[in-house]
Order: sequence, then structure tokens, then C-alpha cells
Amino acid sequence: MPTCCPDQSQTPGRTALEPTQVLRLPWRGSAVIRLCKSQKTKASETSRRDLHLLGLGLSIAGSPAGRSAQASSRSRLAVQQAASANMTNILIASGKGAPELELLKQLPSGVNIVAIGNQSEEFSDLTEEQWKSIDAVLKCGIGPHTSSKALLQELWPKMPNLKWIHSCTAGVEALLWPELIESDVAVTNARGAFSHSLAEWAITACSWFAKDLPRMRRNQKAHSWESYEVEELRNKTLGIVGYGDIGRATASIGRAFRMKVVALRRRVQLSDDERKDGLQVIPADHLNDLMSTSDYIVAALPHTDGTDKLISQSAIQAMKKTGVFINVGRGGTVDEPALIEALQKGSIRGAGLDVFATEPLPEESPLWDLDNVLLSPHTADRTTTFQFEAIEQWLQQVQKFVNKQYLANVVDKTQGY
Amino acid sequence: MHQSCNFCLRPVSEADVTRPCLRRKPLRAGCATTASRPLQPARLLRRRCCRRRACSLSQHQQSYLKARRLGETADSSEEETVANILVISRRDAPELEVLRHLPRNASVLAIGSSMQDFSGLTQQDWDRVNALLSTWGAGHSFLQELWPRVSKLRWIHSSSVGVDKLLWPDLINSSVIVSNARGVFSSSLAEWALFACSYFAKDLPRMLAQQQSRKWEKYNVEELRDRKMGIIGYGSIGQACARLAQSYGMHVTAVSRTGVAPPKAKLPGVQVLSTGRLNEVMSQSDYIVAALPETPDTCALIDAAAINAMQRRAVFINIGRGTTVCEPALSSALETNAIRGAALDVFASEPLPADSILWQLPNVLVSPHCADQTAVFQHNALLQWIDNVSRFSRHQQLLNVVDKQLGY
Repeated sequence: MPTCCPDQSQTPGRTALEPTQVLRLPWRGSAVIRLCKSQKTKASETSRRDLHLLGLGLSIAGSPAGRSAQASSRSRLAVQQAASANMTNILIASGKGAPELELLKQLPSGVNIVAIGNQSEEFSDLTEEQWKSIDAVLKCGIGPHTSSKALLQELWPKMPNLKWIHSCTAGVEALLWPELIESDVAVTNARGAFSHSLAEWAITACSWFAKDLPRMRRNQKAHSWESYEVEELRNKTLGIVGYGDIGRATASIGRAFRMKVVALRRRVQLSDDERKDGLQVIPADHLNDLMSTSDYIVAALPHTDGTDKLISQSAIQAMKKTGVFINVGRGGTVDEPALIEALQKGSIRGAGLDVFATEPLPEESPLWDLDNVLLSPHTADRTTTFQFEAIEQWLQQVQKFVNKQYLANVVDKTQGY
Repeated sequence: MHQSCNFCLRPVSEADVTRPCLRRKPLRAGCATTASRPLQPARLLRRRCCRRRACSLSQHQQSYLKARRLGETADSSEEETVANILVISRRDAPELEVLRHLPRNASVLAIGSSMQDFSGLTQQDWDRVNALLSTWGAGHSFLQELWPRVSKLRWIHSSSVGVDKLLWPDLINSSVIVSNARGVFSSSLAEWALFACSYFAKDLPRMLAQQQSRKWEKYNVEELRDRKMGIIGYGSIGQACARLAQSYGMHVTAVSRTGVAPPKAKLPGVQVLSTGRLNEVMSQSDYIVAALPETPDTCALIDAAAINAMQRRAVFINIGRGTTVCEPALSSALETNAIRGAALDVFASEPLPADSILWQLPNVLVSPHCADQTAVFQHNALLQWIDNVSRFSRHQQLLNVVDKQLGY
């Protein structure tokens, strides 16, 4: 059996897929590609791009690595074949009243919305045929329109032909569960949609401390005209932990302020653009070096097993006394008690936090009362149009899905981002 | 009379003044251009004076320009001027340590902030003073006291940007050159202005109020991206604001006296309009940054009509001078929420009186005129002045010469 597609016998309930239409290639990390000997020539002819990706130094395993290895590779492409020859059928997990759903009228032809809802009872009248027809799920909606992972887990067994789930959030840690991770269903997210607003907020938080706004506000409250020294961001070091889309957007604004940008990431090689920009990269295992040399640290990490409390007590203790810590990623990536202790003692200058280990932040948390904390209730990217922009991004993905093209923003389910 | 050539700064008598084609200021015989334009040696060498075919640049002019092009002193046979400097400053000001970087042909005759501090100077010393440094805080009343005694004064440098407190009629009408610290503080002021925009865009007043009451309630914020910024006064500070605003993706329109971008400041995408279109810019902008100098022409330039033209969601930011805005109209607009808010670093009267309503309005950020007061801001200003001292000594074009008639 041609094997440039997953071994379907090991994933019951999934349709057989034509090898020439399906080629899953890993992005990075351990990779397994099995090329059927009988189909090898055809595969190499059909896709030079695939071979180029192979040239990224990935191993081609001759031995069947099994379903777990396949599941552990990060998909660059989505599995694209509609069960129905003509229509793409989508289920939307969101409250029906979500205003951004008005953009659904911009869906391309050939796309059918099977159902919309964020409670399981709203899907109770779907027929088995409709369930089988579903190719993709969109998870969106905020506030009262939000849908839960539990809902998707409940609907999961009913959708045997599901190929793709898209989440209108950047973080997907609240979406993934073991069966989904193990499966072949591609997951994509809204990476990039919110990066600019988060970058703006991060630099605002830097300026908040540079211009000593706590002092200005105290003086203003006391009607006290007392001039004092401020700092410029110019020539200060901006350390970015997690140099993804949000980190890069922050670096871009930081460079406009003529800050010196230092980034923590796994790949230490610089691209030409990065070299021109004067970016300095610190390897991922030297976090404390970044913490100790930066004046303003912006954390923009996803929350995964690998990043849980990555910014540990020792990292926080390595910070300068004048250092400022800003988190626009996920609260779970920081050792929050250690951060609170450092803020209370004054061993760092302050923190600007949009995300927390527990949200909503409990009332008894000391962070509420600290004068050197700027506390935002996870709204740094919550513009009036941010969900609309996320849906617009999804519409582009749908177009690609329908045209059997590579999807963007494919999540590595095992890595968690 | 304090007459010096506006090209090479050497003393010039009435008899020595030439009559160039475009006569504006006195020029010593042999000097080709006015001080307001930077020298472009190649062009000047081709230039003709008085439309006479036979006219060509003199040997003196040619050698001077050649020497400038090579970056060396003009006419090695001609001695450099020794800069005899009087410094008006507190004697314990930390930035005075920068004086050790003065060139060898500069001499500080005295430092002080009152006539008593200068009581040790002899008449000979007073007669030698040809340059004066006025540091942060010194006003023209003290300078007026010194004025009759410094008969040979040719140059005053102010280590601040605004010279509104420095100029008075005698100085304006004299030929003493005045220069300032233009450009030194622009970066920090621009940072403050963009922070002030973000302060309102991210609704920090609401966030801080919620933080104080431990309320976790999500609310919408705005991006600065794609918003419109109107900059009133497109000098060094305005241009720095424009650059930063563009990095956020904002659309920038500027208002300047001439309605034309200065030659060195042509930022692509910035539309520059004249002051006649001020109200139009006020009405179309989401964030207005006023960066005007204080001159007779800019007094209350941003008047009640201009403020009334602002949109309800617009924010007003002032980092220039408080007198350029009609403050009562602004206070009223803020009180009635006719505009979203204001961030003010400067005020009509400073210190801001304790009973001013601006202190307590929740949509106003009050900064006590220290948005550019970094630990090294005066050091940087004096380092720039030291460069000018070198130029003065070598009879070169000074930086940041102020147009005394215009007031900036």
C-alpha cells in the first residue's frame, strides 16, 4: 500500500487517502516520512517542494515508526480531501450571536456551514450523514459566545471525516487533548493576528516604567509639581523570550525606539535581515544570560510542557534591579510566586502583566496591590475588531483548504504551538 | 556695535561690509553667502556674485572653502579665534564636567548665576568675552544685566530648545548669534508623546481603576496602527514623533509655518500643511501632538476653535510650550468630555497652580515639564555646545542657529 500517507489501517474510521494528494511533511523536530518504494518516483516528480523540505536535514525512516511517531511530527500541510466531492462542510463551535460571524457571508462558494453552536444540544438534530460530511471545525467566539474543549471532545467521535480544526486564538493549549494530538487532524491557529496589538502593549508597559508613571500619578493625585528624572528607552536592551510572531512584532517597535534587541530562541543562526537589524540571539538554554543583561524583558511564550515555568525563580533572580518584566504570552510560563516575591522585595523594578497563571486573577493575589505592577486582565489584544480579523484570517485558510493548498499557521500538536 | 560676519564670524566694520546679490545680513569682504544656509563648496565655487561675468570667488573664498571641504581650519596663516566664554550656570551643576572636553583654544572666564559670581572679573576680562553659554533655567533678565558689559559678545548659546525666555529686543536687533540645543531632547519627547497616545489607546485609566478595585473585567482596547496623528509644529521634536508614529503604523499629517517639510526631514508618507489648515488637521486626527515653540506668532495658536474642531475620541498631547494652546478652552473640553483626554508636559503657567482643574481630571495626564529630563539630558546638550565652540573657534558655520526674528 502506498505509504506516503499515514497507515490508514492503524487509524480506524479515517478515510483512505490517495498518496499523491496527501503528503505530510514535518516542519522540524523528529520527522518520519515514509515513501513507498513503488511510488517513490511518482512522489519525487509530483512535488519538488516536498523534496526541498526533505533537504532540511530530516531523517527518512525506513522502518514504520508507528502512529505515535506520525502523530508526533508537525504537519506543514493539512490533509485535504473532501469526503464529498463538491462541498466543504464546516461546523462552527461558537455562540450563534457572535458578531464576527457576519463575515461568514464572505465564505467562498462550495463551502457549507453545517451547524453553529457552543452547547452540545445545539447539534442534537444533525443527522449521521451530516456528521460524516464535516471536514473542518472552526472554534471561535469570546465572552458569552466562547466554546469549550469539552464540547469538541464530545463531538469528536461523531466526526469521522474531520480533517482540520482552526482556533481563532494564538494559544492552543486549551484546545489540545490526547486523541486530537494523536490523530491526523491538522490544527491551525490565529498566529500573527494579534501580534501588533500585543507588541504595542508591551512597549507601552516598558514606557510606563521608563517615564516612572507610578510617580507621576502619585504627584498628580497630590497636586504636587515636582519634576523628576525619566528614562529613555533608546539604547536600552530589550530581551525577548520567545521570538515568535509576537516577539518579532515587539522587536520591530523596539528597534524603532532604537532599543538594542536580544532574543532567546533555539535557532541561533541569523538571517540576513536579522543581521542587518542588529539582532542578537541567545540560545534557549542560556535564559539567565538574557535575564541578567536586559533592561526590559518581554515574554511571549506559548504555554506547553516545555515552557511551563521556563522563567523560573533563578531566571527572575538573575534580573537587574532596574529590570522590568513584561508578560504577553501565557502566565504558566513564569514562576508566579517567585515573580511576586521579587516584586514585593523590590529586587526588580516592576512588571507589566497581561496574563497570569490563573485567570481571572484571584482577588487575594498580591499582584493587585503592588505599586510596581501594571495589571491588565488579558485584554492587551482585545480590540473591537480582533475577532473579525481572526475570522478574516480563517477565511483565507478556508480558501486554501478548498483549493487544496498548504494551510498556514499549522500547529505542531506535540509541541503545543 | 556688535558686528560680525555671518559667514565666518569674524568682526566686521561698516566699511568692510560687502553688497552681495541677496543682501540680508552683514557679510565681511570676501565671504560669499549668508549664515542661514549650509555651505556647499562645489556649488559655491561655480557661483557668481552680482551677475558680473568677471566676478569670481576670490582667492580667500576659494582657499576657505577648500579648507572646509577638507575639514581643516581655513587659512592656516589666519589664527583661530580663542573662544572666551562666560558660563551662566549653577556652579555645582553636574553637567559642567563636560567643560573638560572644550577645545584648547577655548577658555572659560567665569561660571556663575548672579552678578556676584562674576565680581572677580576685570574690565579686561569683560572685554574679552565673545561667547556666552546660558544653561537650563537662565532667563533674559540676568542676561540683560550682563549685556552692557560684554561689548565684544558675538555668540550666545542656550542649552535648552526653547529660547522664548532668552530673547529681548536689544539682542534680537543686534548681530549676536543665538544658537540652541535643538535635536538633543527630541527623542525622549517623542517617546513620551507616543506613550501618551498608548495610554489612552489601551485605556490605562480604566485598567488602573480596575486594578485598584481588584476587578477582573475585560474591555476593548485600541491599536495605534492605522490611527491618524496630527503634529502641530514640525521641527525636530515633531519630526521625531512622526518617525516613531510611523513605526506603529500610524498615518501622520503635520502642520508647519511654511507648509513644507524641511529639506532634511522629508519622511515619506507625512503630509505637511500650513497653519491655515490647522482646524482641518485637528478635526481629522485621532491623536494630536503639539510641539510648537513659544513665539509671538504661536501664542494661543491652538485656540478654542481648533480645540472645538477635535473629535470626541481625540487625544491632545502637548510637549512644546503651554502658551501655544488656549488652556481655558482645553480645560473646558476635557471637563465636558468633548475630547477623550490630554497628556500635558507643559502649561501656560508653570508650576501648574495647585487649584488648576487639570490636576484632578481623570482623563488628563499631568507631567511637570520633565518629559525630557533624563539623567544625561544636560550633558548631551553641553556636548552639542562643545561642538559649536570648536566651530566658533575655527570660524565655521554654527549648528542650530536661531532665527531671532522668528523666535526659534
